[in-house]
Amino acid sequence: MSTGSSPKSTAQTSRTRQLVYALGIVLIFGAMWPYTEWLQRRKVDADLGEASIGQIDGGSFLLKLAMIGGFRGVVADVLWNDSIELQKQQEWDKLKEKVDFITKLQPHFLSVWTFQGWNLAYNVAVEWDDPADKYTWIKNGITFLRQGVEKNRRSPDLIWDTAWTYYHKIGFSDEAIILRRLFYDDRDLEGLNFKIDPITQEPRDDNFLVSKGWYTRAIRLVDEGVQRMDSRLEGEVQYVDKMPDRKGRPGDLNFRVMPAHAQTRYALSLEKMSVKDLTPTFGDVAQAEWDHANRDWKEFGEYEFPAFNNPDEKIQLDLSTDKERFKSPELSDNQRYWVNRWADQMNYRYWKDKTDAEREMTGVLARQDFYEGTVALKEARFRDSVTKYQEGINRWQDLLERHTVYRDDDLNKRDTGEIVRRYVFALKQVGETPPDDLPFKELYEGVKNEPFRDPFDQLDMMKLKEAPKSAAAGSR
Amino acid sequence: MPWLSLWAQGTTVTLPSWIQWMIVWADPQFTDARLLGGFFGGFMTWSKLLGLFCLISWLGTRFFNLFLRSQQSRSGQSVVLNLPVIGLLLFVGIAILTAFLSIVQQAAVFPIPLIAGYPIPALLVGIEFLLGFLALEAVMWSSYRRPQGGSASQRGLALGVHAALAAGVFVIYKAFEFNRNVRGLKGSIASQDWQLILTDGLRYGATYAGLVVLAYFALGMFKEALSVRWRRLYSIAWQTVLDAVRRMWAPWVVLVLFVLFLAFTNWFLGGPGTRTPELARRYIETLSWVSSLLLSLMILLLAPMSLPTDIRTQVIYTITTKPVNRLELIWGRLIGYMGLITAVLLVMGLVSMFFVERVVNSRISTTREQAVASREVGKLDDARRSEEQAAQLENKMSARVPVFGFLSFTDSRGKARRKGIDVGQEQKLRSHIEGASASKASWRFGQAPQKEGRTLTAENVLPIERLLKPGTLEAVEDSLFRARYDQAQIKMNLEAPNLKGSERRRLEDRLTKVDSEVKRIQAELEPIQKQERDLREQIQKLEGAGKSADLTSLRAERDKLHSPPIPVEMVFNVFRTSKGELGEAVRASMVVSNPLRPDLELHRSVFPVIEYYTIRRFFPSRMLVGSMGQLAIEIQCITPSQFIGMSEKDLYVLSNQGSFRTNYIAGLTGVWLQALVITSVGLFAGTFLSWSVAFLLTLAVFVFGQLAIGFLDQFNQMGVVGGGPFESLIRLLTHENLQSNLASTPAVMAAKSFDLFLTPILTRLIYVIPNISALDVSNQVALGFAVTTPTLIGQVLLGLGYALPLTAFAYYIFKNREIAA
Repeated sequence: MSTGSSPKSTAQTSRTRQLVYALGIVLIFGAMWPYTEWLQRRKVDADLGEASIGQIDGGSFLLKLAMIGGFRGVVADVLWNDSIELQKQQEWDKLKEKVDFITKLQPHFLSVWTFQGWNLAYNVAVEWDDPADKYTWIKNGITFLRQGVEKNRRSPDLIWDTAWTYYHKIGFSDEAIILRRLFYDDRDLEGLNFKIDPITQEPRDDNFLVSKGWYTRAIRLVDEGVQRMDSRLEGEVQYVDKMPDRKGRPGDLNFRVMPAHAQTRYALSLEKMSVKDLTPTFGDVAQAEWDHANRDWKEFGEYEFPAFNNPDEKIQLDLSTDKERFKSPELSDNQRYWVNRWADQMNYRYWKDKTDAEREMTGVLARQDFYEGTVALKEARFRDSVTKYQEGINRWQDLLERHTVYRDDDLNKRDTGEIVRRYVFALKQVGETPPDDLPFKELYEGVKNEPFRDPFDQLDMMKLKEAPKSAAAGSR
Repeated sequence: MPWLSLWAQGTTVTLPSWIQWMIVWADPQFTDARLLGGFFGGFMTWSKLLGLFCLISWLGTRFFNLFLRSQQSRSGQSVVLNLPVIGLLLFVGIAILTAFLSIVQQAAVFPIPLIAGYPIPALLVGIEFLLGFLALEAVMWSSYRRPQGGSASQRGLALGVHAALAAGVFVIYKAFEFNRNVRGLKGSIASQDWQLILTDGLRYGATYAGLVVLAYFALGMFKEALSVRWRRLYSIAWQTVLDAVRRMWAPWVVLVLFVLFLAFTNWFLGGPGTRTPELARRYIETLSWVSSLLLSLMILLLAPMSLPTDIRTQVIYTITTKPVNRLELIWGRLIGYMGLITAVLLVMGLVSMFFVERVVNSRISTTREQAVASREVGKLDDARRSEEQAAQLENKMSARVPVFGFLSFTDSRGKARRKGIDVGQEQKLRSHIEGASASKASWRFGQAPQKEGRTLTAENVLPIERLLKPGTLEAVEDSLFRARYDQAQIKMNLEAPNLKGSERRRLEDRLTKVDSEVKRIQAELEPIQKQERDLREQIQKLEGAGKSADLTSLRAERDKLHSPPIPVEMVFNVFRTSKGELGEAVRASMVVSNPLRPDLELHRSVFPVIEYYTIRRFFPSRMLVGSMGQLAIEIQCITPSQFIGMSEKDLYVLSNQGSFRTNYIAGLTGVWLQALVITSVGLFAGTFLSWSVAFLLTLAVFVFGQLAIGFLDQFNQMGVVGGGPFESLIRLLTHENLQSNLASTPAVMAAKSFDLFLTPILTRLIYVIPNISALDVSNQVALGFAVTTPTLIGQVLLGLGYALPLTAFAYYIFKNREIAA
């Protein structure tokens, strides 16, 4: 403030100055207008706006606003360090809190979703002793991954990770029988749509079915030609180390096979006590599911993969089961080589033949006989057990004669051998010796001294609350 | 510390108590934790550190004044470089050069010649020392016209400082002499020893000098404080509040932001995704963090602006020309802001308390409803789990007062161990015991373990009078036991030989009193015992006859005669070596015994361990009868080949469970104290800085005090790998990892020299930056533990320990500032 001028002139200068400021503000805003318009258009073009990438998240938006731009990365770094420290201190809930915070700051940073989703579902879950708590953390992990999917709809990776966690962490844990029961009982009171199949949008009581939906969703996304790194804006960016999608690249056999596997697992689980205290399902229902599995395998087998060394040549794994087409001159040697190699790698022939066999009514009935035989064995009704096993083994023999690929596979040899072992055991209990023409005798000899317990069957792994009624085990 | 090692060699030497006291008062790293439950020790450290600050500030102010004076003396021409500044630059320059030379010497890049048998860096240190000393002397004795430059009191203070320095040397000399005498050493003291006595003596003397300066300033403050009048304080405070509310709208803005946050908590707190047992903790911690943040932001904007604005707008003239003491100006503002903060905090606290209660209680009731629903459809496991979760959450919505014991272990061969088995956890938080073996974990209450030299505190003795309900069978029995202990004690004392007549009479008097007391208690006990016996018999009869109708009322009547069972809470880890029986929990057993009464039947119970859940078990109150607050609790793992893990604080006896609301309000004290410290910092900064710089300084203190204290602590203990700031910068730029040795290039050596010079200064920051995060007690509230009165007192003292000196500094700066210039 100049001291020499009169009060009046001071007031005048300050008035002028105010006017200049006001004008400046208006000008800058005016200049901003076309710029924001242009930016908006650019975002739409490049498919980068929050709305197009995924759901708009108020909390995330506010946090990003508060952390003004560049500090976001630094804060995320600090939070990441904190979260590692918290994990060491066994502060699991605080770990999750921190991780949620990171994703609010950087929702499109995929590694955070992938890594921490896995971390919660696998590493944190394993630290808790009670299966119910394990389930809570697996659910937390899956929910976390699904939030990632919501915010990154163009990423097949996250969708596939979600599917895998449903499939593997719930379905293949040591506590799978209990976890699957917890899944079955989950009423989803939090409203997370946890049991919704993303394809049919219907709730499912089995984790394998839900996982199949998610696998399929990932495959469909890839088939639509979506690649996360595909947006035009990102295309212009020169990445030092550009990270492409991990999953769904051309020739990714393991990516495409999973729906079939999930369906097979589901059918398989139906025919045993794979869910705690829940009796198995046989009959038409089981048959239909095996049929489904068979179709899924065929679909996988008919998909045209580009040959590894020559992407122009198409490889269909199903050719490996069709001798005539395999030999037809239309196929090059290279194609035959890759058909064989990949079919071996995926054990395609076995799976196709297995589903083919199991979907026959004979197969389903044999399985029911085996189950009832085992129940009778556990309840010390040895005579019933012998009868059931006998019936079942006869059916099984009849069936396997028609499905030689399945019969000759090592996995089946062990399973069948174990059933015969139990049959022989039941026979001994009623004071009979196994007949000389014991079916599958050589398989029995193979497993005689190393009994096999199915880790996913309650009959083998846990005490039964009350013995399941044999009558209830009929088709339903 | 050479002196410590010197004494450590002669372990039998006990210094005379006056020397011990002088040493404890001289070294900021020693303190006495025995007096007043440790509070006095804290006070001692505080005054020593404060004294050193006073000394530095006093010298600094005098130096600054000297600098100003030599600027003014050049007849209006202000020159940047003058003698004091040149001296300072020279001092820093030589220091860095010394650091550089010693680094070079360490790295052995090229040989550094000796001068007169001494290495050059050592000589430089000597020169530096001498220069510094001379400069300080000059500063101390320099006299200038204004303000108070050459006053007699200042000269007296300078003399006092010198006396203190001499006292330091004297104390060390005496201790040294004493040590020599004990060891039988004769002859003159060697020159190295003189060096030691001198350097350590001056170091000690500096602390004494600090205390002298502190006393001088404290006296000044005290005189000033005597003339403080409440009416003037009040009017300044009220003016401050009005300013803040009218001009800045501060409280309204804060409250609106807070309400906005509450409205959108789901965005931030994750809503239904939070696990039920964790809900309370998450909401309480977050809400108190947000309250603290908003309040701090408010005060960050208000406090540093207050004085500079008044000075700029010249309002300060009107005030200073009134008969207002300058301390009142500072304290009035502080009181005003704190009043405002109290009001805003109370509103926020009450709102968030009801909010948390609403959220948590609704979760508890829905979880309970789920439990009922599950039970109806026969899902008993689900029902049990939901009930457990609701109980966990309910437990956290209270104010538990734990009594902790001393933990020791027994290994699987029955040998006593200090630690259990390490199962390979990254941070060895918990020690493990093996299942189905002799291995066990024992907690002792009311008796310190002898070998480990840990001291028993009030927190370890079971409060019998609170745990046993007065008038019940157990409480009366216990008082009988106490009286009998007394009786036995007096009788034993009476039997002692050559007892004085008066002492004997006193004891005999007491004995008769205790005897009658015993009789009185016996008379009180008998009817209760009889009533209890009768009831028991009746119940047995009815049970035999199978009549259940009257049983409940009879049982209730019987229970009334007993004290309620005593709750024990524990949290354990489970470590499995095999999966075991699928879905079966690992089991543990608890054995409670009374070490003073081996005749009493042990209490045993077995329970499943649910990992990370607070398990609550009870033991009958009869175990405490005649225990004098002592108890032993042993935990064993029953399931074979599995382990359970625990740490000392994982098991405690609950002595009380108070209400959540009181605790929540008590927990707000932490936030209030944080605001107090920040306000003081803001006011302090405002006394000598323009408002923008003051704001930045306060902000920096706030951020550092919240976030960087842990790092500073690490830095202080030299725990940071990768060197000081400059070395770290080089590592950052050259992508070197933290562990590798850097090549001795000139750049690296220069960086290391700067670090060597800077690190000691930076590490001292831990004494300067207020540890704001330590004031927070919301974590305790969030976990459902009571914020007890001793904790609160400690927190308040800590807060005041920061706030009072800051306001005092502010007062002195403000007093010496020429506002009317």
